[in-house]
Amino acid sequence: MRRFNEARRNPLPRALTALSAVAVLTSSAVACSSSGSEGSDTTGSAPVTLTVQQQTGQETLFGYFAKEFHKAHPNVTVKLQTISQEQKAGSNLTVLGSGNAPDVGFVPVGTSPYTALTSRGGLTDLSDVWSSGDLAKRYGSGVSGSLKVGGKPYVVAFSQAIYNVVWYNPAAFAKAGVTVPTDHRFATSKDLIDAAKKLKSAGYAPLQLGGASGYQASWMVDALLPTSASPAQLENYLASYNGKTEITAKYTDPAFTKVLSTLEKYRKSGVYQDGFLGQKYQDAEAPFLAGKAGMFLGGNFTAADFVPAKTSVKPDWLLLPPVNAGTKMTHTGYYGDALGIPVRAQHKAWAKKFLEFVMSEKAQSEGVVGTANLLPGVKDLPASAFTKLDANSRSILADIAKNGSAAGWTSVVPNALAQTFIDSKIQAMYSGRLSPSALAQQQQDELLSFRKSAS
Amino acid sequence: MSTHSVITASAPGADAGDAAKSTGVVPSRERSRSARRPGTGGRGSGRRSRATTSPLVTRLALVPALLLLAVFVLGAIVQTVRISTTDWVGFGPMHSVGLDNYRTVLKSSDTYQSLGVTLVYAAASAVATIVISSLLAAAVSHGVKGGRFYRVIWFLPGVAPAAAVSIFWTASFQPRSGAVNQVLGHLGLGNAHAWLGDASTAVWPVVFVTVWAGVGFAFLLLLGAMEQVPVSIYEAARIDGASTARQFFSMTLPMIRPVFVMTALLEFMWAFNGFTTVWAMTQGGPGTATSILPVRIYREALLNGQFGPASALAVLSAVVLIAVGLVGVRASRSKEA
Repeated sequence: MRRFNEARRNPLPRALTALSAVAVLTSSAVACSSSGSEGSDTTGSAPVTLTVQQQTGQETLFGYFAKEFHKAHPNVTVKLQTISQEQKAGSNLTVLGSGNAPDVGFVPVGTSPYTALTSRGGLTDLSDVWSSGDLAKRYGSGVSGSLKVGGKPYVVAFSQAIYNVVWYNPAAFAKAGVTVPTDHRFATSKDLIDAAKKLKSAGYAPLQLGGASGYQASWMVDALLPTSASPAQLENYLASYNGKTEITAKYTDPAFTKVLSTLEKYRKSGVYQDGFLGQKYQDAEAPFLAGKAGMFLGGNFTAADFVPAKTSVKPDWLLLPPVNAGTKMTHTGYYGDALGIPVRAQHKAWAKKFLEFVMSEKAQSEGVVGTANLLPGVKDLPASAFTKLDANSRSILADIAKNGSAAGWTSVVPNALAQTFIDSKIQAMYSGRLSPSALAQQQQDELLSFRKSAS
Repeated sequence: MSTHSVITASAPGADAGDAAKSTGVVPSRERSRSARRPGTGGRGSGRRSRATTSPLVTRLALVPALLLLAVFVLGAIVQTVRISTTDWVGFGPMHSVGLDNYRTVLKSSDTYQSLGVTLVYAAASAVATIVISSLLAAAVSHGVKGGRFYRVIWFLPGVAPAAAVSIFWTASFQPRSGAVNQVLGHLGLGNAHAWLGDASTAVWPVVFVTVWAGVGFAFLLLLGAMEQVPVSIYEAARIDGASTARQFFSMTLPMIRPVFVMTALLEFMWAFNGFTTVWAMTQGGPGTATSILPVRIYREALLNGQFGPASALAVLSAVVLIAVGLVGVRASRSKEA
């Protein structure tokens, strides 16, 4: 009571409150006044600094984009802002939503920044960029549909990633007496398990998996699901997160539970290396590059690590076995590495020009394929564009042309329901703390909860 | 008023004790301090400053600090509480959902699992840190050979960046190739232990690294406290035949109790709020085996875009921590008074 009376007599707290309020209001006003400049003119020659985000590991590619764009527009200097793999799926949201947002942001599809920004009007409508680049046609209907929200495109996917590629060491296979599967595919689960056993007996680690990465444990769901579910079921699994889509395929159905049971069988049969749940992607890759492991689960982007300076291993690629016998396994595709323009960007018109350049045939063939050894985002590049691509990547592309590819479940469904949610659950299953059926039930419960909160 | 007059009359640089000697008046607070803590002096310079500074100037001098506190501490707390009652996704407008987020968080079994892991991790880290640092500080305080060298060596891990330390130790705990397993292998204890890959053991390497990095700071705090204990007390104890262990448990520890308890409390709170080591080593896995509350809050907010439930969890964990802190502060004061 005494303290209360003292406070009443003391004018200081009230003065401080008033000062704080003034400070907060002033800072808010400054933040508001500095945001939202349209910057619609690209005809002048006034110097412009365009801030573009790039992710770690793609510095060469974005360096090419920056250099070539500056060459075409000498008054525009591209300033690259690097974000990590982890930031792009999480904390980058605070940067993209801030008053100091970059002109071009890295916004992977399905991540929390993408979901938050598209649902709350945080990204600029790119219909004009898509229209001028004829992107709907060049992506193909399936991909272009997955890159739109409410029928509008807010991003451009500059590259296609293929993951769930089982890289193997032919020398290790030969030494361990493992017969290389035909057509780049393990025919059955038994073949994979036998190969893992033989490799272990010969002193090699079997299939290297970065189980602690936060994404690799769930990658294999993406590979196996299309071989377990019917096309109609798969389509529903990819779309049912949207509350307007009726749920016709439950996660407790055999189509999904068989995938989880298969993964659990692999773990119990020793397909993965010892301690895989304590290793991240790079930890798992290192023994493969050093020639100490027979297989490594990676993607087409892993090919960049197979240069002679990094390894003497000369790897080739395989695909995992299907869940249902007789189903053909295809490559898993991800069109999620995408660029968008935050609504608070300062130079939106120049940012759109930049995106148009990134999606041009020149940048796609010279930059994405030729410089970065990645697969292009568009499907209309001439065959001559791929001559610089490494042999394995060309082989993967040829296989996709022949057998097609499937969109990964965790690539399409928002992370909060798919990758971020299920990855730790699969880790728990691998730890023996969750059965496949219990995991499936939790996934179904999460689906209902997600639909409810989204509505 | 008379006290002020007496103290301001003393010469610059002289302390309250000197002033008292010159005037024959001893301020009651200073007297009691001197009686409780022989050798510490009971300095009165703060009182002298207050006497020469007007209340208005004192208050004005506080304004910048209070403004900073209001904006960066109070503002952040208020904003967190506010977000915890909304459906905010990290961007755009906030819509109030009342206490729904608190209900969701409190109903979720994951919350209690996470709280359990946090308490185990924080308690184990704090206990191990305080025990090891006490022993090291006691050794140096009792004049172990090379004491000056050890002061530096034991503090070094605390200077290294937490992320780098975590990456180094993560590699060291890998089966076969990891240094820890190789040492165990040479000792005949097997080299294939998947410490971080096994949900039942993953938390212990993380505790180990937290302790390894935290011992140095606790060691310095405790050593400082131990060196304040008058040597004459130990001499008397030795004359009475007290062993070194008896001296440590019956004299050193009771005499450094306030610092000891506060250090333990700080270590607990730092571990409770820790993120870097756990995230860099396990990202909360395998599964949720090491998913302490800060990791869960990070995942909810930044990976799932659920800022409301994440903020509710942050508020609730702050309440738990404040309760623990109050108990600790009370414990540190109970024998001090």
